[in-house]
Amino acid sequence: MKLFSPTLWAQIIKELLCVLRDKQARVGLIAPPLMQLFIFSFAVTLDVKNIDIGVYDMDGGSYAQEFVSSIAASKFVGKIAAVHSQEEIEQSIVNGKNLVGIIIPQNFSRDIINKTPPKIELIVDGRRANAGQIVVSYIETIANSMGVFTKTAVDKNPDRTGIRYWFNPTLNYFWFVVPSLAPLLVSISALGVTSMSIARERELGTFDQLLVSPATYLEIIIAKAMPAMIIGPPLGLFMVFAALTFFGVPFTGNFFLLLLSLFVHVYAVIGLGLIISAFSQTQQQAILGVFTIMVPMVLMSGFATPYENMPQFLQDIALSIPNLYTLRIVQGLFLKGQGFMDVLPSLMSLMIIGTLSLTASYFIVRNKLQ
Amino acid sequence: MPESPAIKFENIVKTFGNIKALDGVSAEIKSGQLTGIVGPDGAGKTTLMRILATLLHADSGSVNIAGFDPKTQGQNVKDIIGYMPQRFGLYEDLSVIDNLQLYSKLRRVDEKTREKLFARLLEFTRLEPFTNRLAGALSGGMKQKLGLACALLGEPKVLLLDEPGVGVDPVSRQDLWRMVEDLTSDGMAVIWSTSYLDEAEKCAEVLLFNEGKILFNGKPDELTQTLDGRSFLLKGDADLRRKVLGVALELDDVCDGTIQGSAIRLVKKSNSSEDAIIKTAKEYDYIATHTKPRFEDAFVDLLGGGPGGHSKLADNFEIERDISQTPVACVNLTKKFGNFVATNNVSFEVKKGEIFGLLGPNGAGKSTTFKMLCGLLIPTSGTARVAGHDLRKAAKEAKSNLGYMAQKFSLYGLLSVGQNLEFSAGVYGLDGKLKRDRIDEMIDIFHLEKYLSSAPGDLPLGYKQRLALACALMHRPPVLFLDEPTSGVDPLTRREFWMHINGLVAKGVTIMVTTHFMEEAEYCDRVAMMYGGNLIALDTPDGLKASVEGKDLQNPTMEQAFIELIRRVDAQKGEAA
Amino acid sequence: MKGFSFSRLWALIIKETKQMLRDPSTFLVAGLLPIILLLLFAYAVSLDIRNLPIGMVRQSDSVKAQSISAKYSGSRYFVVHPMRDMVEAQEAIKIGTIRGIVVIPANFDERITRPSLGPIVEIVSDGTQPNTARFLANASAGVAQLWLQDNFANSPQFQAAMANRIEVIPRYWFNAEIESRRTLIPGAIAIVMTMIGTLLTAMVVAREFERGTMEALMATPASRIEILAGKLIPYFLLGLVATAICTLLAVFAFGVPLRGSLFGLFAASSAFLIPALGQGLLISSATKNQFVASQIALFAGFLPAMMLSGFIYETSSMPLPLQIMSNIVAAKYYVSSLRSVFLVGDVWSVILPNIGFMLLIGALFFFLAFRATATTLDGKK
Repeated sequence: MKLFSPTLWAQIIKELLCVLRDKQARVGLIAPPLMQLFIFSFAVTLDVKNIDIGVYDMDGGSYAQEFVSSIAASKFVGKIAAVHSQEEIEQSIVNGKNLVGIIIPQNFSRDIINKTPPKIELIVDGRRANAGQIVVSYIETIANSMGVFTKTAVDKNPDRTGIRYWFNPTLNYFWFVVPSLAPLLVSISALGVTSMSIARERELGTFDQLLVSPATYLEIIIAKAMPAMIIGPPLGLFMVFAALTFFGVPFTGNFFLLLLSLFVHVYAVIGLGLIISAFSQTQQQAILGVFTIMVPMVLMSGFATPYENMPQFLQDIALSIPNLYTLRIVQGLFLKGQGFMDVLPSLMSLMIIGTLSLTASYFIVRNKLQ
Repeated sequence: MPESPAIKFENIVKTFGNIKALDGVSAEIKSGQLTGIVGPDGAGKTTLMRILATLLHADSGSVNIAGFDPKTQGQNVKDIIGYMPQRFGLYEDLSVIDNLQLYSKLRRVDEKTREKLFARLLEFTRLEPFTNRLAGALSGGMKQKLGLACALLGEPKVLLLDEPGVGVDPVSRQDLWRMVEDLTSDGMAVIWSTSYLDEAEKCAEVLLFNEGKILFNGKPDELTQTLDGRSFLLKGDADLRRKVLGVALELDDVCDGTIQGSAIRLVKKSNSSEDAIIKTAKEYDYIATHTKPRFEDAFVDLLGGGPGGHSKLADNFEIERDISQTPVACVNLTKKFGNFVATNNVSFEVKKGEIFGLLGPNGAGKSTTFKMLCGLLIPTSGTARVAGHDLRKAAKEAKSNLGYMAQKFSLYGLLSVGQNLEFSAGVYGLDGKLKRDRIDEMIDIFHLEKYLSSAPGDLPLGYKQRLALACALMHRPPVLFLDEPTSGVDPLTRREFWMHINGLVAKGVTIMVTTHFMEEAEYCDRVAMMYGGNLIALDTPDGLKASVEGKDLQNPTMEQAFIELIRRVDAQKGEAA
Repeated sequence: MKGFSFSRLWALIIKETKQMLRDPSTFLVAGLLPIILLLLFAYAVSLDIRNLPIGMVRQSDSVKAQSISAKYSGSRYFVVHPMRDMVEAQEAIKIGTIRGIVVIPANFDERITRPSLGPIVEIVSDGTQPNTARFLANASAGVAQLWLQDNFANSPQFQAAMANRIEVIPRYWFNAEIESRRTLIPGAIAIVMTMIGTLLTAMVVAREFERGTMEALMATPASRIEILAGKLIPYFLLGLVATAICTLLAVFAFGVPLRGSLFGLFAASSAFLIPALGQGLLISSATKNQFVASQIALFAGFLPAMMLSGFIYETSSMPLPLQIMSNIVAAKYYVSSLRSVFLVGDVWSVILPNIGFMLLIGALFFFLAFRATATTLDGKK
């Protein structure tokens, strides 16, 4: 006995065939998200490396040289170049040659010997303020440890705060990026597949053919939701697999909970895709529609920057974005060892978004006939 | 007086991959006359047009257009030709006047003459009231006239029209003919490619293409004359006409036959006797008389005759759910879009086993009515019923009882032929062995075996038509809706299609059809004429023809009847105003 | 050029402009999208972190402990949630209601004067989002440091501890307040321009093929150059209009300074439109199908502009293959030019080489596109 009526079954098969018809289409569906996963995992890093630095050493003493060489030895530095005038260092910042210019004042070594707090001046290119800030914090760390070498006092701990990073002690970027990208890329694929479905049938004239058949609107919606529902979670699972093996991200939660979450995530995204599709007369409109919601969806989901960082009204809007919740779930399951009760509120929110948007798409499709 | 040839081509060959679209064709085309290019789908008509328009280059052979070679002197050729592609080449999001402006400037019509030329063309095309309307909002007929006007800017010496008659109503077609005739009398060479043979018949000369070769080159009359004494008109009990046609087409001596209102038209094979035809006619109390041959008779004969009269599809066809109620009915059906009344208070009933035609010019409201009857639009008021089920209240039941074949080719291009059949069977609720059997039956009847894994878009036109029909009939519906089913289809494919329809009607299937093609209207038992949202006439085709007969109009054709009925409504409105 | 006619070109430009103005997607991409993107990059994507929720576990009730706790509550970086104990805080950080914990130990007062007892506050930062985590750690350490300075600047212990510290004094040029929107908005403009140049252009050229109007155009005396130029010039102008709209929004709505000249701004924008339009043309000549064209445009145009232009993510920090790829992303040179024009001024030593690279990439795209568009329809069959 089949699970669905023959009418619905035929439609589901049709939708799947439309999406997976040949090898080229299947590759086109699977390859881009996987490529994106690998490219973005390496590209999305707010870490800084290979930074070019200019040094104007007015002091020339041994302490100054020691300071410069310990900076030159650090991982984040690319080229380090000595310059010989204030003007030259300023010019190298203006024309973008160096991100940071270090000016070591004349009396640097003398201050250290005299136990007067020595100073280092930095000029940072504000055009790349974010990278600049990180470099400044690295240089500060180096300066602090220099202090330890040169100090004579008993105090071995000038830094009076003890910092520990939980869940990701070394702040490995992959641990954050790879699990977060998986649901994000899955939702882009799911949106793409579902948003095209009705628009394509309208454009090619097959939608009329479908509407004169005994298929009900509910069946049409269910059938159109299926391809994403079937393709999305395995795609996500494959990315999770890549995260665990290739990128070496630890997994602390329940695997089945993750699988369930992927399904619920796709369920929540599909409704949005169908709403776009129901409004679109052509595939071009659909793809522009997807794009228009995709960009805010990525940027406001908490992936790019923390959710709490946005003004209140954007936080309120962001509550309707499925990825906001899914991001919390995957981070919780991968790194924080969350259990079912911990992810339940997020799962419920996703269910609500999915149910509301699917209902909306049902009514939009139905009312378009008027 | 025809002068030196405007176009001359010799031994043109053009291949696409393995397919020889043109296989060594040669001809001369004269100025000051209309030359028709006719032939079945895939015969090479469009390829030739594109070569003449410099859009394609021939693989070999020589082409000469008013002294220029399109391959090496493309720019010179472009200066003297006007070209209207199949889809008119209009910018739908620009207004009528914008389109004219654009093409006039591209052809460098100078400032002073432009205004005069526009005025003349707008009057010529009767588009003056619509100059600021977007081209996309025009009806098919108006688009076609605008397309022609755009092709005429810059006063070309050679005008190339690629299937301009598709999807256009008789009134607009009449306008178009009038315009083209005017042009040829000015000395222009006009080339008109078409699959409608009544159009071809009006051309001064025709080139008849088949499979990339020219089968005939000359005046249409010359070809028609070869059929003298071979065309017959059979008259008798109109209710039997489809049956008689079916029997006659199976005769060895008959090469072609069609329904013409209440009569039957038959063409005898050459070198065969007419005895069998007369004998068959007598069996059914029909009287057979000789009639003047038409170009179409000759065309079909030249291509080796039409299909037989026996529909294997109909043989096995038994209506799944026999319905006692009126198959299709509408009562006071009205549809408004804002203030615009697309269908105004239309009522009619279709009898079981009847072919019911819905006719009218573009924008008359026939598609709106049609769409309400098959559940694609919800009526503003009134009811539409199929097999007794109100489409608003019991849509699912009503829809299970109807089969639908859309005007535009609307099978899933992303699915293979076999997958399309599977889908159609499934979506109408067929399952298990029954589904398997029905699909196998369709594959067998329509010889789809070798195409099962092809994409529907790659099929020859005839097979597309068969597949669409198979998909619409898989669930054996008592009612079949056909929306311009043979628009742009060549005569042979059209004959095969109607052969099946006639067979189905014999089995009690009810057919509802819209068409622009007047010969198709002749197949109908009754025809409803719509105009301006209203039902203006409802009668048999012969009845409609008779209703317009007068001393100015004797023995009117269906097309003349159509135009006259519309004219009368316009005249009445004129008086009222 | 044989038979080139400015009047024909002009007619094609007029036609394209009229079509453009009637197309809702023009307004979506050139009007609505800039507003959404600029708004998002001004408010949603802020790299300047504020209002992070942290848990405060205060194990000491001393006056000093209350004072430092108040210092945290007063900081604009944090929203402080008091926690009963470490267990509650652990639970909260696990489910994500807080992103860090500040523990003020029971012997807080003693630790201030006796560093050997351990740090005065212990900070736990949720490492799941490394960037936020690092920021939270640094900012909360900063608050403690500041509190120490305020209260104990004169104590001998503190002075001894500070004596040999190298004080680092950073100055951020061109962006003294370190507002990330100032660096992000020029990048957002590059995204908008990519959408107009590449996506819209790819789709409109493909549309001509799809609707059969290209066939009619090619049968007229208009040459290939005229047809292509007639398509590109209006979109070039639309791109410049979008630049103007974005600049007005950036300067007047989002407070980004424009320190360079309008000439510099439009010179860089014009140079960028060359490769953007060239890419759009190349895509459409390769596919002739709107849907496929738009997908390629998103994949090959938008995503690289977003990820590999140095707009959010530093290209120099990426692995070598990505760094090499980023060098042929024209948006990278545009982002760099725009940042200089907005924040510094007309730094020609930055802008001119960038313009050079953009024109070079543009020339490559046009060369490929011109080879791909055939005068005849042969390729289409």
